[in-house]
Amino acid sequence: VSIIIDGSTRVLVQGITGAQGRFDTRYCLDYGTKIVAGVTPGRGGAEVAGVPVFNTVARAVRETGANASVLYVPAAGVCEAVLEAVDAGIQVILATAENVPRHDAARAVSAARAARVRMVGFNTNGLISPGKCKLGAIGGDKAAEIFRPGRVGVVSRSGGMSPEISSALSSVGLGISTCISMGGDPLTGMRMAEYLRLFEEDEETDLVVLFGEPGTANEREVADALAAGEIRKPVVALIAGSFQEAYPSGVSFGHVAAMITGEVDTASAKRALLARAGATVVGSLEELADAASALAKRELAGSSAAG
Amino acid sequence: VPKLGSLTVRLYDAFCRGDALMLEINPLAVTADNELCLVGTMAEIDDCALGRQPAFNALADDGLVRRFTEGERMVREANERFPGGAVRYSELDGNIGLMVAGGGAGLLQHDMIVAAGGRPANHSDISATPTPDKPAAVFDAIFTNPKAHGLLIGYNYLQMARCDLVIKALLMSMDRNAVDPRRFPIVIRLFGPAEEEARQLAATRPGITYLPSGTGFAEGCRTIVQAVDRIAKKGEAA
Repeated sequence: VSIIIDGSTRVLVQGITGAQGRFDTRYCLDYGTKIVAGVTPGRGGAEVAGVPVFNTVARAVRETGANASVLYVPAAGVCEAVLEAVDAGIQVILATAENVPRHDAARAVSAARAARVRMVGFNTNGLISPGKCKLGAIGGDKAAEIFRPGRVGVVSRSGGMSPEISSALSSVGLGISTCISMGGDPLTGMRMAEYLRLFEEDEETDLVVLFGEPGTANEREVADALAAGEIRKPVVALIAGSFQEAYPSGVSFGHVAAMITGEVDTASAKRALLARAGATVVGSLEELADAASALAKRELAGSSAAG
Repeated sequence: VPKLGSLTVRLYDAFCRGDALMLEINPLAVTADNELCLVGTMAEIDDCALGRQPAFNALADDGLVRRFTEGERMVREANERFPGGAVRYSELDGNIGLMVAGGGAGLLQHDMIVAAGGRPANHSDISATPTPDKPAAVFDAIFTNPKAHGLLIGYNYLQMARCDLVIKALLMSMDRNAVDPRRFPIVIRLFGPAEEEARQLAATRPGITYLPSGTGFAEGCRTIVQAVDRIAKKGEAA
């Protein structure tokens, strides 16, 4: 089984009756994701693309056995929606809202973590385990074409870079075990190093590709885990945003989280830390594909030698 | 010191209710009659919460590092007025206008422009929008920025925005600002929904370079850097 989601994941969609909710739900259903329920307060009894809509998450879980929730609830109300999902016993949460006020994000993330819920986002476009399940917009209506099944785990701080990385890997014949857009907001439910630990335990993943940015401690935590020997699978890292070092700190470019607040937050510092800890650090998608290809061959040779 | 406990509680309350990311009291004084006095205070308020903090929002206009430029103010206004995901725009010192998306792909392309010897005139980030108004505001800002001498439109592959809508916004803004792409190079790396329609629209303006489907980020960045260099050299020669 893949990490976080697999073919048996039963999904509900909070905010399914909104434009984005309807749009993504249709593509996810076409992909084969088991979307069993929708929730919009006051719209219980309605249907979206054949999916029954309930007034509350608790009711939807009781009636359909949903264990994962995708939230199309905007920033202003998303904290309450996360708490509702956690209280209803949902195990996996995908929170798409961006620019969530930090105090709200902190409440939602701490509630999810206290309940041991795997929360992806804020500001994520989704995650996909090719051939099994996808949550969120990731891949749109071309998910099957872009994300080929394989043995590379991907975790990206940028939703837009996930398909780019997958396409680059496809060009050298590599496929994806699970690809996660972890979210572009400063606070996310799960951190990059936690995804890498899941990939480390995952029998279907041989190596991991990560896409990082300036700001946050995510990449530093990965370097620490690598240096401590907690992650032994090969890691290829592409970290964008070194241009920011030419400008005053405290300015955010692109993602709100991509803001340098100190020297350790810069793209260059992260590259150096990761390289020192044993990751293969690359500067472009072409280099990323070549490095992953070489490492995959080595893994293959290693496992056949061992077998 | 009496009252320190209740002060701490009140400060925490203010920190939460004000959506602060940081609240610093420095120094805190104890007066001769044992009263507490906040001599210096500093706070950083969460940008993402300004919508529910009208008093702080009114102060936010001054920007964090410097005052907003005319173009930055224009894009901020468009961001509040028109529908669709957030758009961001900050001006820098170089001469290449950037209309890049999404966040990560924008950072990567900015790095690649610098690596190719170019200097961006701004950074930007935009999500999909249902109308051309927000992207047109970014184009307006770039075309009216006196430092900008060229434009790269670089969206990540398989983004969800309709390509024809982005190009409609581009043409709208080119007309408003009388931009001739033969003198102000425009390079487009934009693939995805309604790409064919977008290419037909772009072809109505001679001089626009619309890169072939599948062109890499690095190639798009090199193309705009070279085009802006060529124009600059022509200018020097003349």
